[in-house]
Amino acid sequence: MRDAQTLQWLYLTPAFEEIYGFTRNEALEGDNFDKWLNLILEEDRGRVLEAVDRVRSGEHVTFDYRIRRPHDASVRWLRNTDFPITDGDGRIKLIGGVGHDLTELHETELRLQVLMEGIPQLVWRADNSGAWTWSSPQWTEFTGLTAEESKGDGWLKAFHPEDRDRAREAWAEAAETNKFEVEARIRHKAEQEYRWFQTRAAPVRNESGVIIEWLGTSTDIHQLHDLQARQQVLVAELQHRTRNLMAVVLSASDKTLQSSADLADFRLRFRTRLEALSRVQAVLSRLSEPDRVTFDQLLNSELEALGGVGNEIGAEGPSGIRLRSSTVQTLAMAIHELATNALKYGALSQPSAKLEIRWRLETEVEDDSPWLHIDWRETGVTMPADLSASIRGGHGRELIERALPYQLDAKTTFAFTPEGVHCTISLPVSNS
Amino acid sequence: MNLASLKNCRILVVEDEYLLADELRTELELMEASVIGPVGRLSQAMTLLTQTPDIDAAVLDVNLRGEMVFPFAQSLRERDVPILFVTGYDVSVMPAPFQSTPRCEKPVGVRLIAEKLVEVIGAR
Repeated sequence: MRDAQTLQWLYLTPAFEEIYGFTRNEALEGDNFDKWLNLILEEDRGRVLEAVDRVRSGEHVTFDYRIRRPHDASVRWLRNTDFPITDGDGRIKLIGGVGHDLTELHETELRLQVLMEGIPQLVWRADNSGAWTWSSPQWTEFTGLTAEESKGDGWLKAFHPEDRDRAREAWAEAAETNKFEVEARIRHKAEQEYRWFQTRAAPVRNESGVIIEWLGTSTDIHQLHDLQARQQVLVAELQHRTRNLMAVVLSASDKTLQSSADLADFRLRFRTRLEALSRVQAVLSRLSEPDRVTFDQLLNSELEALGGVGNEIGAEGPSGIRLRSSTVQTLAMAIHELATNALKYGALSQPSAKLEIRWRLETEVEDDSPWLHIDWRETGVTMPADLSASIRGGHGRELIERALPYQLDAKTTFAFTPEGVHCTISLPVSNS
Repeated sequence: MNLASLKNCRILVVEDEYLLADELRTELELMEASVIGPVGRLSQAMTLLTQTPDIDAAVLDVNLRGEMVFPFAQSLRERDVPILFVTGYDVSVMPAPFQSTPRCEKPVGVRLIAEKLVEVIGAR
């Protein structure tokens, strides 16, 4: 309590000592108003004097200011609520005041502010209807909308036009569910593009549980969104490939069954075909996306699977010819059929016979596209007098003469010469 | 289900996997259907469509060497040709205009395809 004229303190409560860190007696000595003003930080002093003037003229005034305590130089945030006390004639004689130490509250607020403005998210506050009342500097930096422009429903301007209705609906639902959540695109000013954000808000309630405002954040999930989309494509692709492969296996089992002499024969043929299919799947699945299977890779994997017959084979051609991925499986199956037939009846079944595989890359004149030409020639083979029907019109031959042209746009020939099988396969290969 | 009802029906077959295309052709011909194709590429299918005045139904694989068959399916729809998709894709991958188009999921036997074909031709 101070005198309204001289502004000198007349009385101080015991709480004063705890806040200011010295005794009330010390505080009351001398020109105590002047002493008090000197404790107040310079930048707050004008505001305090103005507040005191208003109280002297009859107002109730609440004002915040900082003091520096003399004994440890620490700064405290204080809040005063001052009021005039009048005598019987209505003249203001005294000024009463209630002071609080807000230092800890201020520090909490400061920390909160640092957090809200420092985290890599766009932070905002809104009232119950979704009208924004405040937005963080990150929001302004990202969207180019100032806090003022974003107030009310101004923030919607940064949302993708197609997503605005969804955001409005989310606010309508928020009242019932007590949470706000929407995935929407927000425009990035600098990059001039929309990015996907997860926007969420939680209600802030007062002591009686009534919602007083909403605190929201928008988190950039653009990369996650891209990844999800890519993953969906991959899953669909995998599904497509797996089911097609199963269909091919079923069909191959039917075909093998039709041309098998007995169950043992079927087992052997079907097994080796499945093994060849598995090998090519393994090669394909090992590829990282931009890679391609090369022809020499594919040929080697088929010849190795024959086991220990390498010496009779002359294989010659450039390495590194990259095959189109869609052609790998069918071409591998054709090579597999040629190789197993050679092993059973042809060049690889007779010591004096030879197998020559030559290949080269040529550019098609018509459309400038690269083609792989494969020449498979068996020589010195004593051909059996009665070539059984299963060799003449077998699965391998059908693959080469019909499946490769149908599926790979290949040009093929297949012939039984007096010396053995001669087969040519030409097919378009990868440009890159 | 009377599969004899496929007799003399003109069925267009679009499937890029030779083994499956050939199997379908063989089996449908055994049922005395008249098979148009098979072809394995979108461009071939388009050509075939312009050259063939009468088609009773079309069996379509969805992914033809990486190309989606839907533009062709749209052309068929404009000509009022009933469509049966045979695909490894889940229904979620089908675009909205074809979500309710009849489909068989691979792997599928020719008999089931034939039964569905009778249905789609009958529903026209």
